[in-house]
Amino acid sequence: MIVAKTDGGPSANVGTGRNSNTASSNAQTEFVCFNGRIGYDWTPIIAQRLFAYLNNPHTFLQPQPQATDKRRVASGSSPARQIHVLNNNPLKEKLIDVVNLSVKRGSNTLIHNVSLSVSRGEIVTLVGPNGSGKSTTIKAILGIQKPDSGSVSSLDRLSIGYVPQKLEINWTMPLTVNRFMRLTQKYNDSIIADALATTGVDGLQNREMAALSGGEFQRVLMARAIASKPDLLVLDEPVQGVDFNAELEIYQLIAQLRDELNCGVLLVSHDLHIVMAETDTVICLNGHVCCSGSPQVVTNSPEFMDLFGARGSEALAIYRHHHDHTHGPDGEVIHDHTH
Amino acid sequence: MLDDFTIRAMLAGVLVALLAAPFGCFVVWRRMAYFGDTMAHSALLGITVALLLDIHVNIGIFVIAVITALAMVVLQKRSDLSNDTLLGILSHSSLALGLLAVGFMSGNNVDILSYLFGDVLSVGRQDVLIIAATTAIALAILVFIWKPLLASTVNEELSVAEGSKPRHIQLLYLLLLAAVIAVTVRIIGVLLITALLVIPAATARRFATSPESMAVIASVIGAIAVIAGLAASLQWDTAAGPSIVAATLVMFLCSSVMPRR
Repeated sequence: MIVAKTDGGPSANVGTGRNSNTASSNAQTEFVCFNGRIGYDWTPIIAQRLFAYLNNPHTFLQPQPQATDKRRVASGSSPARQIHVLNNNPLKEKLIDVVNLSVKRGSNTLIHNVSLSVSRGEIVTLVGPNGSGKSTTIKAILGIQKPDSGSVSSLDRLSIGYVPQKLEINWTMPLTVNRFMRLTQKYNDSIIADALATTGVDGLQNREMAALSGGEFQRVLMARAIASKPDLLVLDEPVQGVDFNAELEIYQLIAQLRDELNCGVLLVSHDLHIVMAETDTVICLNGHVCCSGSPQVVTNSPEFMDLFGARGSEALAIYRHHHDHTHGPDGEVIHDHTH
Repeated sequence: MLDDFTIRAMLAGVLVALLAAPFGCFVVWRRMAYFGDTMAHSALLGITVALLLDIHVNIGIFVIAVITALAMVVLQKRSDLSNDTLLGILSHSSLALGLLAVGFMSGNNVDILSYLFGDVLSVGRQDVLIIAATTAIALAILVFIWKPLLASTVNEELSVAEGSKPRHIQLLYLLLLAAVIAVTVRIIGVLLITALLVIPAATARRFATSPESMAVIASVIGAIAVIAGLAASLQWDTAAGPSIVAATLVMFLCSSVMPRR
């Protein structure tokens, strides 16, 4: 399905015509992966995942048995479980191509020679510890932050829907959802209603943004990003301030949007294992691209192990673990569950 | 009863309130009350500079307020100190320098209290014209930049990604804010300007359903407060600036106890 692009929609035309002075590859500026010390405790997340699994085993992300499997079941709540053909298909057009992007602030190198590309229908996830340059990469791609070297080329008239990382609307700003949707664009009521319905928050039009719950807020942000039917969705930590069940739903929503809009998705998350199942390409970032590839390839790579350490591997074990049982409220194993 | 000077005072006060309130809304939304305060405190330095160079007081205030605002923007980007510390340094050092400069010019018949707390009853015909012109121009420009300014206030990154240039718009906003401060000092004084910016906006929030309605309601509230404050000032011979601010405070407190819609 190809969704027609609305003319005059918000086309954050990124990087077209930017001079592509490719950074000279400097072998001395090689980064060293941080060894297991990422200041991030996975234990509560592991517990949360287990809980969610207990609550709803069917929506829990299923492990993919083979890395080479090109077909994937989109686990959305859409009536017919759609079969989505993965991006390795050469017919999928490349939406953006980032080559050797480097951003410095003063003498600090924030990102160094980052290369990535996103094709139509592909979900690319940037993972990495705090301060590894995930948001910087996104901002440089969107033109919010000026890159020091490297190039970003994009499809002509590429339209982008963007959900920024830090968006806070405090009570002093009387902004309804309706008004927020129209902040920079002229949308009619039906476009707004459609977009809100797609992300599951129809009917909130007249609520104030400051009064929304975390999950509603993120869904409104996503609705705003997809209202123009963009070619590329750029989502910077789209599940912040969201409780765990809503988090799962939002990741499923992202996969569903990718199918419905036939767009590419560039996603930032520090929440690796949960995004894995819906992700086509994982890019593990720590100032530079540590490793990239399919989730299976990345999670098996030594760089990834180095970066996320033993705890990260534990978390991934959950992702791989084929659940054949559920747990009762006291933790006892219940074997009545079927897959 | 209404002499010429009271009519002038009322007219100037109401115009200033109408002008200050929409800018005050952005001060509230952008959380820059202290930023506005710092610009206002620099006004005293602007007054002395104007007297030294023999230029119009409003121009002196405007230029110094713009320089202060730009200095803060640059320092906030460059410095390791937190924003509130930087603003504290600039705000009070500019006020202190202004007070020292006024002190050195004591022979120059400068009435320091009239600058600190406002001297609305000395507003002349020319002042009213300047205030009216500034109000008309500044509000017209604000209406023109309203949409991108609002978008960048909600989220700067989003507005950049969607193709606007918030830096230019924000710079324009700061210039206009400096102009607002320049014409407001006469009415309400260096020390109390922020109150006229912030309190009507905070009062209006409760009744507003959109950013625009908040600006309009804040203007009306500011205008009512100015009329009430000036009337009280004439009646009981109190200082004009504090009377106006006290009136805004009364309205704010009344709105706070009203049930939320």
